[in-house]
Amino acid sequence: MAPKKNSAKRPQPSTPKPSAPARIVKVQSSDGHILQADVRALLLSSTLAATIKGYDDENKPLEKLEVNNVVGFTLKLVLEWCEKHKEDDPAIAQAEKDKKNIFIPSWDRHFLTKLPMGNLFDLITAAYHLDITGLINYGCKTVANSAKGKSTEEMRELFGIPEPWEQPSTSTATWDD
Amino acid sequence: MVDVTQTKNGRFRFRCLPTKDQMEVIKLMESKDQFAFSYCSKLCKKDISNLKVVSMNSLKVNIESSISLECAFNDHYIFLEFDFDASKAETPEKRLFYQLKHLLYILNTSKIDILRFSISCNNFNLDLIFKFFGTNRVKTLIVKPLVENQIYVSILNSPIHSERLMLEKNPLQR
Repeated sequence: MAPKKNSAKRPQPSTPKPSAPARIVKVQSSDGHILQADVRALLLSSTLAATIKGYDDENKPLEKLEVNNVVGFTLKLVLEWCEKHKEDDPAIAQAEKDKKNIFIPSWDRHFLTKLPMGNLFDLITAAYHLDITGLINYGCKTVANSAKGKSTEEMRELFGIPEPWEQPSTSTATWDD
Repeated sequence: MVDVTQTKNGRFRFRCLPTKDQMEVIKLMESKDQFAFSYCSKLCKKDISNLKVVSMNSLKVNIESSISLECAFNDHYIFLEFDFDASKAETPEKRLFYQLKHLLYILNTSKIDILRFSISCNNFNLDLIFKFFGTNRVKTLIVKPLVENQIYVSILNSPIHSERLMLEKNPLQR
């Protein structure tokens, strides 16, 4: 008997599309680093997709895309993630957007959890500005998972919430600000 | 253009995330983590309340030899006990009110499912307790056998209004 597949909640990769020759373009970060990326990977970013479409519509050659608000180190991470997911159906990420339980595939879990929290912050912020739904979903879920089982004090430390909670000391004054 | 993605240190500056992403992270937390998060700051408490993400199944308060608060959520349960403690500046009653106000605020409700008075409840300041619960909705008020009749009467005459009253034994009807 074939083993039962437990894949009901897991994102399914899209049907492989007929492989087209990769269209490689240069991408420049805000600090001048020039990276290369497959256009299919860049299309995961709604922001970059709009720029690429603009070039294509005008039949202008696309040689270099400038990403003015993401530094090289973070952009490299973004492009690595996009390259891995360039075959994904964008509808999957959209469907997961409002779910309470997001399943993070093992590659993404490894990719995101190995990052120091500061880099994870940069990556989520970059994903927000580049409008990459899947990366935002997985990034936010990774942050939520990092808070799992933590006390209030530990969460303050984790999230850099600066002001300690002011315990009422002399009255029953409500917390309602 | 200003770089938006370069951290100055290695910490996760949660409040520097875009607001939409902050809310997304909170929504994706487990409910017990959302509960712990609500105590981090006033803003955290407000976010949890506004997002309406924490839902409660029941909220019960027992006033007896100690005060306890029980709150059942979908995936976890909270039990807090408040007793006299010389190391704490606040009285047990005030600590109870503090926790209850927080819970009711983040749960967007003013309803307490069960308020139960039992023996030795007069160890605590009943006037304060009556005043507090008089301003909240109590679904079921339970009065267990009490030592003194006058306490029984004072509970029944208190400003606490409940939808349902359960008197397990009325010492006045001997």
